[in-house]
Amino acid sequence: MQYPETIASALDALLTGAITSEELVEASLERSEQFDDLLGVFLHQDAEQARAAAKAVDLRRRAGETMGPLAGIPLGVKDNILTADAPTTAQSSARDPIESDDAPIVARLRQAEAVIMGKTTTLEFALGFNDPDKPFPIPRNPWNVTHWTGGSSSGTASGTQAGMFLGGLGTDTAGSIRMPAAWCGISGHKPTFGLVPRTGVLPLGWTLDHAGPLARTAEDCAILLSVIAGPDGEDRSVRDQVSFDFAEVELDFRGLRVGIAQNPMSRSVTGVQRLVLDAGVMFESLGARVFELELPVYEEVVDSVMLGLSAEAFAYHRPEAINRWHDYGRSTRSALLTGALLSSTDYLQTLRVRRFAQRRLEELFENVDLIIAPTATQSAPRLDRLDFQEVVGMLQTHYWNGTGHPALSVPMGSVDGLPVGLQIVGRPFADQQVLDAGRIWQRHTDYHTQVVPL
Amino acid sequence: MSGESTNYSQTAEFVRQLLTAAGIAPDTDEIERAIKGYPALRESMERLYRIPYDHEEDLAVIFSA
Repeated sequence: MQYPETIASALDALLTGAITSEELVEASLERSEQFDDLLGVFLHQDAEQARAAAKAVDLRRRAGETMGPLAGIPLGVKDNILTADAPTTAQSSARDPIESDDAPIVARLRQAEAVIMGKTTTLEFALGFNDPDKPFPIPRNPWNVTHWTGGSSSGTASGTQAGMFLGGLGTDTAGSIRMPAAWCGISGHKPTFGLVPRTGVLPLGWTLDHAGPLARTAEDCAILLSVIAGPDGEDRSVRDQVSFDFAEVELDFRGLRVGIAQNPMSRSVTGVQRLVLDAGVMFESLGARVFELELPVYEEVVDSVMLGLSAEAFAYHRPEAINRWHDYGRSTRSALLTGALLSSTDYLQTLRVRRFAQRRLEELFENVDLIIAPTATQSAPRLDRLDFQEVVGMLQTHYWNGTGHPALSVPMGSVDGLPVGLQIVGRPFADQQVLDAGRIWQRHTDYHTQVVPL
Repeated sequence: MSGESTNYSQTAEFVRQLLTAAGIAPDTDEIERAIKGYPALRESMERLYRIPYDHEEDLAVIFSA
């Protein structure tokens, strides 16, 4: 059996009987057995449970029952999201593993009959760096194992690229879905703040955290988003009336106004800049009007995100930080320490800056429909040269966590032999438009079809 | 030079006070890095106060988007 490349094609193959869920899950498990030790994708995997779930789906399908929208699809779940069938560690020794019910977004995947393959690697509480002194796997980039995957949804991104599952869940507080998606050569979507509930997601920064999908294509991200979006009655940041219904509407680029954000472009290496400009040319050829624009208070919002995140993380972790400081990894401690040095006045000011930027963006979006930019200034750095501050400087994702806008990263080619991502951003709750733009981009390009030759 | 060392010792004392108030006990090298990085951290923060706000901004906690 040839492993399907996408959720959409797997759903078709399952529907026509070309494959079964058991075959799909078996192929995924085989890949995991072969490559997980090398790539560090899973923190917890229960093969028998996955097999049993797949078998149940196949039995129901054979009985002619109505199937869920993800019936039989193998997925990974980042290990800062609570699951009933596996402990949640957030890749940390500072707290005991959490036994709990499923987070609502995981429950929705199960209700849609997805097969959860396991809990995937992250950074400690989605914050620190991988620490070789701690008892957790180091995620390695499937394209070159001497390079990093990006984080913190590392395992979900690399496992998707490596064929250990077809997609999954991540979280994004400053770029943690989009960065590993870009550097592993897949797609990842940070939904609009308030579209997907974070109940059961261990917090990093409450006002910045987003949960969302990673998968090979924008279409697959849309399929997953349509299952996990919408209020759950618990997360009060999610508006009552929001939902996301995936529909195969054809976004008409004719007359669409597409801005290329110059602030992140000017920070990027030439190869990345060239690829973003090529994307602009492609959108132009479809009828869009493409022009350069500046994002308001860019540096200030980036700083407000990183500083506010540190303050919020320190508030959450303070009890353990007082009592179990050395159980945290060194880089996590460094970030928490920054939060300890800020005043309440400082923290409130970070929130004011973000509102200021939101207002300026409301004005900007009167004259532009979509904004494109690099996801990161370069391709994945080497694992042995990782520096927290340098990585923060490479990311061009924080800004949209600060403002809450929907932001998708899709593969746009490679630089220095490794994949890089194109970020597509739209108005708040225009996730459909953003994902459609990604889908059309992927209809005209083949970067997303490049599968790592493991 | 003596001005620099005075600044450093003032910063060091202030950072140590903040860490004590926060209730955490980092290692000596972590405290040293925090002291060295504090002026840059403060400058990043001060920049946020210099934005020319044209009206009263509320806080971006609940998004009306």
